[in-house]
This record gives sequence, C-alpha cells and structure tokens, in this order.
Amino acid sequence: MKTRLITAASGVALLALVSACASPSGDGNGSSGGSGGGGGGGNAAQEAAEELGIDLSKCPTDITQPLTGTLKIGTPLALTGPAAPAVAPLGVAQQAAVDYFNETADLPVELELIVKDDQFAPDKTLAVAQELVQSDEVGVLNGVVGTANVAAAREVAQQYCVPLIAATSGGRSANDPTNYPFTVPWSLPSYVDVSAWVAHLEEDFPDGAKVAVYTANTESGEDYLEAIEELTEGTNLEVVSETTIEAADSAPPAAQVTTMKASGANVLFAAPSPTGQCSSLMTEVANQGWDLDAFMLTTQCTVLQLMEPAGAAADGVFASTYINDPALDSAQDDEGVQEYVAAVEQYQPGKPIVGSTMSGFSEIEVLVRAIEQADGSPLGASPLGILYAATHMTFQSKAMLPGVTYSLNYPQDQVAMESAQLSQFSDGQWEKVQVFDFNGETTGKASIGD
Amino acid sequence: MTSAKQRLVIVEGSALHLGLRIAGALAIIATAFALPYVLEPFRLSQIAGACVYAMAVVGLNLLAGFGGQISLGHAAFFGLGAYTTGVLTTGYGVDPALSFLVGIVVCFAVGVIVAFPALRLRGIYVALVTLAVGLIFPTLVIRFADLTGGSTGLFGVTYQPPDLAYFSGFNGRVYWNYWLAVAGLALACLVVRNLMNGRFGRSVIALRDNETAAVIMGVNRTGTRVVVFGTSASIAGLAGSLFAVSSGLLTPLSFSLLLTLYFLAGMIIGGASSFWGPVLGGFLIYFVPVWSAELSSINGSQNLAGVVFGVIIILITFFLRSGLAGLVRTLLGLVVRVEPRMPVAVPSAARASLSEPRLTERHHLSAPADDRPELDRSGVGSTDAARNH
Repeated sequence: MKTRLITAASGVALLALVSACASPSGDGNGSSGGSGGGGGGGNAAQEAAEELGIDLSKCPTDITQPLTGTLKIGTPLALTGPAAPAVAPLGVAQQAAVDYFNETADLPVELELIVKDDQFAPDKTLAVAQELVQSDEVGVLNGVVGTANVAAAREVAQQYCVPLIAATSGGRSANDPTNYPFTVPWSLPSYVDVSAWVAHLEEDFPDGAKVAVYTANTESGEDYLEAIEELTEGTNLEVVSETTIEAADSAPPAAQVTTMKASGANVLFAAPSPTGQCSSLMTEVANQGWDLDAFMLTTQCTVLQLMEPAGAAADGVFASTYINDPALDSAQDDEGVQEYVAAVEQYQPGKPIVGSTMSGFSEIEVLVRAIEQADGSPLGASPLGILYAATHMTFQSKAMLPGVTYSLNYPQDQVAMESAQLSQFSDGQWEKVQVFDFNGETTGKASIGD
Repeated sequence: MTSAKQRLVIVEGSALHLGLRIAGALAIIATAFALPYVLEPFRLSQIAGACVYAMAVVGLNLLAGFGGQISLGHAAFFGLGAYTTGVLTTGYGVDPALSFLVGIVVCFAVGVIVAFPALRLRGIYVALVTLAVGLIFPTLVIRFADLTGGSTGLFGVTYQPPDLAYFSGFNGRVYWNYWLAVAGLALACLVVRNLMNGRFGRSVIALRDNETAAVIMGVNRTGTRVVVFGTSASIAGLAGSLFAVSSGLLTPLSFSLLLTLYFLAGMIIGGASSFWGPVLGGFLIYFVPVWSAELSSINGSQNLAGVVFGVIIILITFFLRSGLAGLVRTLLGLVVRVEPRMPVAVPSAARASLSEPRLTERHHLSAPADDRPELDRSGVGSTDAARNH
C-alpha cells in the first residue's frame, strides 16, 4: 500500500513539474533558433517562398541565407533487410556522384553525403530523417526511395524546412507540393507510365483491345490500377479482368494468369512488385500459352537483372524507361553513361554497377544542377534558392535517355518526369520503340495539385 | 567469491528496504525528467519508440512469460491499437485520448475472442492460433483500404500537445510523445505488477506450471486465461496507439510477423517472467537495430542487426537463462541480499482451531489424512514464488 501511495504521489509530482517547467528546448514562442524570413534574398526570397507556399516564419532556421563551406546531404536508404540488394546500390552511386561533382562541377559548397539505414521501413525512415536533420545537421535530404518512405521523410523536411530533392517515387500521393512544398519527387510516375501504354495501344489497336490488369497489392500497384482505370475510360481499350498479387508472394501467379486468360483479354497491363514477381509473371504467361497481342510491364521491372530470369518468356514485352541501364548493349557506346560508369569505378572501386546505378547518380545530379542554378540566381545557393531552382528547372542528365527530360515549373508544372521511352524487350535487350512526351499534361493527375 | 557474510543484508519491508525502493523509483523519475534536457530531440524520439516497444513486450510477457502461452500474434494487437487510433483520429476526428481508450477496449475484446479457442490448448498449438491472427492482420489492413489507407498507409496521425509552456517549443510534439510513451510504459508495468502480485498472479503461475493441479485446487482456468489474454492484448494495443501518434504514419508492413518475433526476442533477452526484464528487452530490440544501422554504411557490413540479435539470443540461451533481468539480479546478489520478512508467530491453539476444519473440508475426499500435503499457512512460500519471478 505504501509503495502504491508513493508511486501515485511521484506521478502527481512529476505532472506538476512538467506543467510548471519551461520547454526543454528553451523556445517557448513556437520557433527556435533562426530568424525565419529575414536574410539573403530579401524581397526575392519572400516572393519565392510565397510562390512555393512556404511560411518562412515557421522555419527553425533562416533558409534564405546562401550556404557556404560544406553542404551535408542526408539519405535514408535500405542498407539492410530484404530491399537492400535492390536499393543499396543507389547509395553507392550517390557517393560516387558526390565525389565526381565535387571535382568536376563549379559549386559554391563542398558536398558531403551521409547515408543511413532505414531498412525500407517507413517508421524507420522517419527516425533516420530526424537523426540526419537534428544530429548530423544535413542541409538537404536526397533520394529517399518508395512512396511510403517519401511520405515519412517529407514530414521531417516540412517541419525543419529542409529541402528533400529528387525523392524517388512514382506515386501520386508522394507528389503533393501544396501541402509539402519542401519535397520534390522525381522518377517516372505510374500515371505517365500508363499514359505511354495507352497511347501506344491506341495507335496499334485502332479497333480496340480487351485488357487484363495485374497489379501488386502495394501502394504502387494501387496507383497503377487507379491510373489504368482513369486512362482507359473513354478509349477503345476495355478492361475485362483485374487481378492482384500480394507483395510478398513469390509463387508463380498461376491462378491469376488462368483467370486473366479466361477473360478473353488480348492485352496485359502488369504492375507486379519488382522484387521477384516480374519474371515469374512473364514465365507463367508463357507456360500457360497465353498468346498476348501486347504485354505492357511497369517501368520498375525494366532493369536487366529483373528481366533476365524470364529468358525467352520476356521477348516481346513492352515497358517505359527514362534512365539508361549501363548493362544494355546500347549504353556501351553512350558517352554520358560511360562517363558516369567510369566515375563509379573510380570513386567506388569494386562495387557492382547495376541497373539502378544511373538512378542513384542522377539523384545527386538533380541536386547539383539545382545548386548551380540557384547560385546564379538572386536567391543564391540557400536552401530556399536550391528548392526554388529544383522546382523551376529543365535539364537532361547524361544518364537519361534521349528525349527524356527533368522539367518542373511550379505551380503550373508539378511533375518532373513526363516523358518516357517505350521499348520492347528482345534477345536480352531493350529496343527503343517510341518516346512519349506528356509535358505539362499530368499536373493534378500524377500529382496532388491543381 | 564474496561470501554471504560480506554482503549487505536487507530485511524485506524494513525501513532500509523501503528507502532503497523509493530511491530507485525517484532515480527513474529524475532520469525520465532529465532526459529531455540532455538529449537531442531525435534521441528522445528514439527513447519514446523504445518505451512503446517495451510496453508491447511487457504485455507479451504477461501472456507468454507469466502465463506460459506463446503468442505469435502480438504484432496484430499492436497494429490493431495503432490503426484504431489512426482511423479514428484521421478519419473521424476523434480525440486521440479517446481513441486510446477505444483501442484498449477493442484489443481486449479481440484478445478475449482469440483466447477462447486457445483455452484448451497449450504450447505450440496456442502459438499456431495466434499465428493466424498475426498473418491475417496485415492482409485485412490492405483489404479494407478505404478505411486503413491499404498498402499506401495512413498518414498524419498526430496528438497535439496540451497548451503548456513545457510543450510550446519547436520540439513540443517530441516532448509530448516522449511523456506519453513514458506514462504508457509506467502504466503497463503497474498493471502487470498489480495483477501478478496477488492471488490472481498466483493463479496465472499455477496454471502455467501445472494446469491440472491448479484446476483441481480451484483456479478458474477460463476466467484467468481470458483476463490474461485480454489484458496482454490491450497493453499491446495501447502501445500500438502510442506508436501511431509518435510515428505519424502506419503501413501494414510495420505490423508483420517479424515484429512479433522481435517482441518475443525482447522478452527472452530481457528475461521472461520478470518485471523489469521486458522493459530492458524492449529497449534492446529497439536500439540494437539503431546501433547496428549506425555501423552499417554503403561501404560497410550489411545486416548487422540480424547478426547481433542472433548472437545475443544464442548467448543468453546458453549462459543466461533468466535474461538480462536475471543477470542484474545475480550481480546485485553479489553485494546485497534481501531476506524475506519473518512471519508473525500465531499461537498454536488459535492456529489449530482456525485451520483444521478447512483442511478437512477441502481434502477429506481426496486422500487419507496421513498423505495430505502440508499446507504452508504463513504465506511465505507463495510470496517467495512470486518474488522469484
């Protein structure tokens, strides 16, 4: 009884202490540290902030002051766990790109990359992003992968007014500049991917086609399904079957393929989970002798490591790409790709160069181009200047395929990647078919905005 | 080796014993109060996360440690609490505090429902029943996407801090979440301690150690198991609710079977059937991945967390059967010994008149008088049993 009384009394005393004390951060006015809103660009900064929908007074530091010395770049990335084999190479490429651009680009700051493991778990992404911002004091977040992970990291970006540049997600929900102006996604949106499929099929099948849809039960799969339903409406493409697969299901999708085949569909739209389900779908379609007129596959499956296990079953499959794959024969003569590959070999010797290597390299390149553009602008290379430049910039990376550009002009154009190279797989290689450009057409469809 | 004579001997219930316990409690409270002033906000968020995990392990320990029923579905209860708070606050504008209560009630109810088929089962069979719950939960979350956000997840789950100067700063939410987690853990520990320090606790342990004998002695198996299951689930549910408001986002993958295995590992590493072990274990399962992640880099070792976990579990299995709590107890035992309070002597005549009829009443049908077990009327034996756990 005595112990319980003492415990209760301690609790009450504790509450009283908490109520009576000032905030541990010593900033009872609701913001800490920085001046918020003053600084570097003056009116230009205020106008830029207003255009982006940023209230500078809510920022804990002055984001209008040009950066000097070292700019720390933070990246939460899966270095361990099931997603690590696919995602960790991005970090290797990012580090090589940082070293490469430190030497070759004329930047006002020295870049330093800090990559920390988030195990691809969104709650850990949040914790890692907090640690990167608060403890490592990174000035920019870069290259978070996955829609849910981007959604986690952007909360930190928003709270601490740290730009999150080149967030890698094609999900519509990840692209919400109205509510999260500090987050700038890139990557090919599922909406643009499906737009290319539909545009191609409308040309190839003027008399119409019956479409079967196969998507993973993931945020990406749901995004694809939504885009397919929206974009096929009013066209001569009729969706006759919709099947799904659990993200962790590694068994061949025999039941789904049987169902889709029985529906009479002659075209397949497929967005399986890229971890092992790409090749198993293609193999199952071939095994069941489903003679498709067109097989459209998500861009997430296009790296050669994911296509090769399907062997001959992959021949004839269509997919859109935007970044060059250094393993392709066509990339061997591409000077830009070879320059970046050489950089990875120089700065990260012995590390494998895979399909996602160019993506990681390009994530840093987006940031570098934004810093360069900001440095020459009235805003200077401040966090606000870099963010503004990243949202008002058109450029083509040497790693991107010809005809594909990064182009943003907030608020009118909120989708960075609106063009895609449709290709067809043949004899272990992607053969280019056609570039589809939807520039300026997908804001509000591939993003949450007007 | 330190002999018994060199150790400090403290009599249980003495002023010194009480003083030391109060000092310990004050030290913990002082530490909890000091941490926000000495740690960076993200470290405080990590402490809050560890408290939430520790809560779930404390709940699991009630069922699996004290109750002896292995649950492979605790991540589902954790997730159910989290999604109850998430859906109610983001979808229906319910006050988070009220959503915590709803989460507790819902998890208790689901725990009771799961408990019934598990009532007549033991060991691996209970584990299989709960495994089904653990496997179904993430799929249900995905299926009811309109409510839960499906695979995409549920975002923007927050609990705004009260209008106090302490929580008014830029990091006010961090401090608020920290205190919520600390209070939740303290509440969970108190609930389990109060449940186990009494007749109900002895029933739970009796059912675990010898179910047949316990039932013969009059322990209400159904009632005890249902309450244990429900309470354990509701503690996990409250932990989940606190996880929801501190992380701000929920995805089905966060509540996979792997999380249950982490909780089980935390219970074993910390020390099953102990009061402080699950708290230590909960902190360990949270911070081992954090520390190993800091060792991992794009150029460094991969999956150190798994290796570290594996090594720790193997070492504890072989060398430290009672976990970290047992280790702490052993180390403390080298310098201090707590002696049980001696029972107050009862006059022999009074003892005989009080106890003899009860003995006869309970045992006259079961055994001849000479074979009757000698009952411990002092209560010391049962107190020791509880203390040893």
